[in-house]
Amino acid sequence: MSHVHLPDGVVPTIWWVAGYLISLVTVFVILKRVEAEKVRGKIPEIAMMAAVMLITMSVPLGFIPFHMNFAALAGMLVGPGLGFVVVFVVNFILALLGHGGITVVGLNTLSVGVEALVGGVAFRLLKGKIGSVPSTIISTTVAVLLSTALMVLFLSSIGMVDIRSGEGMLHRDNHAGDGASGQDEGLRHEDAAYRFGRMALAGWAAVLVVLCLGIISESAVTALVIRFFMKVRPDMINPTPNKDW
Amino acid sequence: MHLAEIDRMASNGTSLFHRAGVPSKLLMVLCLLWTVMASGDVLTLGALIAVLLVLHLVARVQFKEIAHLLFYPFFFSLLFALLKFQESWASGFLVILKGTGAALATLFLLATTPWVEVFAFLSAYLPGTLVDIFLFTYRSFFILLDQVSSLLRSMRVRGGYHPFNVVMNLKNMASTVGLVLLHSFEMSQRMYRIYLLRGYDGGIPVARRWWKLGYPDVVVIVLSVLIVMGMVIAWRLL
Repeated sequence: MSHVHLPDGVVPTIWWVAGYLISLVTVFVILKRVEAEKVRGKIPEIAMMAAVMLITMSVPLGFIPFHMNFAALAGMLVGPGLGFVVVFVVNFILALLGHGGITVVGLNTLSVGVEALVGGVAFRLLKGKIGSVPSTIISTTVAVLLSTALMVLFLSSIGMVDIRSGEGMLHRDNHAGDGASGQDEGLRHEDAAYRFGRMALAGWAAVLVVLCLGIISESAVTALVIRFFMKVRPDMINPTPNKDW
Repeated sequence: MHLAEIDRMASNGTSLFHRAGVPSKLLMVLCLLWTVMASGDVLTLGALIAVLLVLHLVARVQFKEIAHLLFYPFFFSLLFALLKFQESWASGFLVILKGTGAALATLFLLATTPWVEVFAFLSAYLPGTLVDIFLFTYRSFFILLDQVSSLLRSMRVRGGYHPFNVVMNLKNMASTVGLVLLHSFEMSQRMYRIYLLRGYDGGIPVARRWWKLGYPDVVVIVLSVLIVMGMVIAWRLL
């Protein structure tokens, strides 16, 4: 859901290098923590999950400018840690095909990987208490919200979004730097507010609507998939206890 | 997704770039990516994109598929460029050209190099498990692709997809994904057993003959050096 479609050349070098380092270290740590024998048996399953994510990401949901991620579902089905690995693999393949920049893979993995980690952990904690379907809805919603918050924080940090006002940073910077007199400043401020009001209000409203629709659809479809599994293969949702990451 | 078409181009192509080894092509793509990212003026970027287009042309890559795939980076660069256009036209165009140029570079690698070869090369540097996941994902993608497309087709034929009925689409999408996942997990377990029978013990064996530098490799390396030199000289002149 919160896949950042940033092209190459937009994100400052320090950010994307840090994103790559953190996500690669996380992937290595996860792969080191799981037992080699256990992860070997799960590789085809992880790969199938990644392939399903790749395919579903290319299916649009009608008129909503949105595609499913199923990162939370990956966290629930293959485990939170391995779900993160799935997200890395999917993002890398997508980037090679131009769907998001190759330099943004690390940041995208962190942003979407949080969905897999949080969704998987929350689902494991909740399913025994409130049932599979309600816990799926809650876990997916929390995971997508956290992941989206992370994405917005990141975009605001690189100056793409101003969280407080919703105004584009570049627009504000232009005004801050021109050192105009008091009257001119007032006129410009009024002009900026009007332009911001017309542009950013529409922008934020649209973003919020898409965000809500996205969260609802992702949670609903994930819950329906889990319900389907509970009917036909409950052993996949409630496997024999293990300490897999 | 066009992965199948890109793979067909990479596997069936006979151009000089298709015959070159993975290390030399990776070197060239890294040089291209670096120059695209580092260049700060529209003219240099325009020249680099022209070079990339010529490379695609020489490699006889089908532009129809590439154009489809370029739509994503172009569209999303345009969104960010709209902010930059407030600063100047050049800043806006820089964002678009950088996004599109970088995507053209990675697509060039994929259109001239089979996926398996790329990951076979990376297996020397990445953990074996991760490389196995990449290779299995690649294999699984093609197995599932046909299945999903026929499932989606039958869903549409039976009236299960409507552009303006999101609720219906969501319900049917969930059933489709559930069915595909279920089938794919069962298939993955079967596939794993088959791999075990064939001697799989954590690491798909890949042949590496990259130390042999042929004539195509030399051409690709010389081109890489020329691209970087062109970029550095442009810096000096400016």
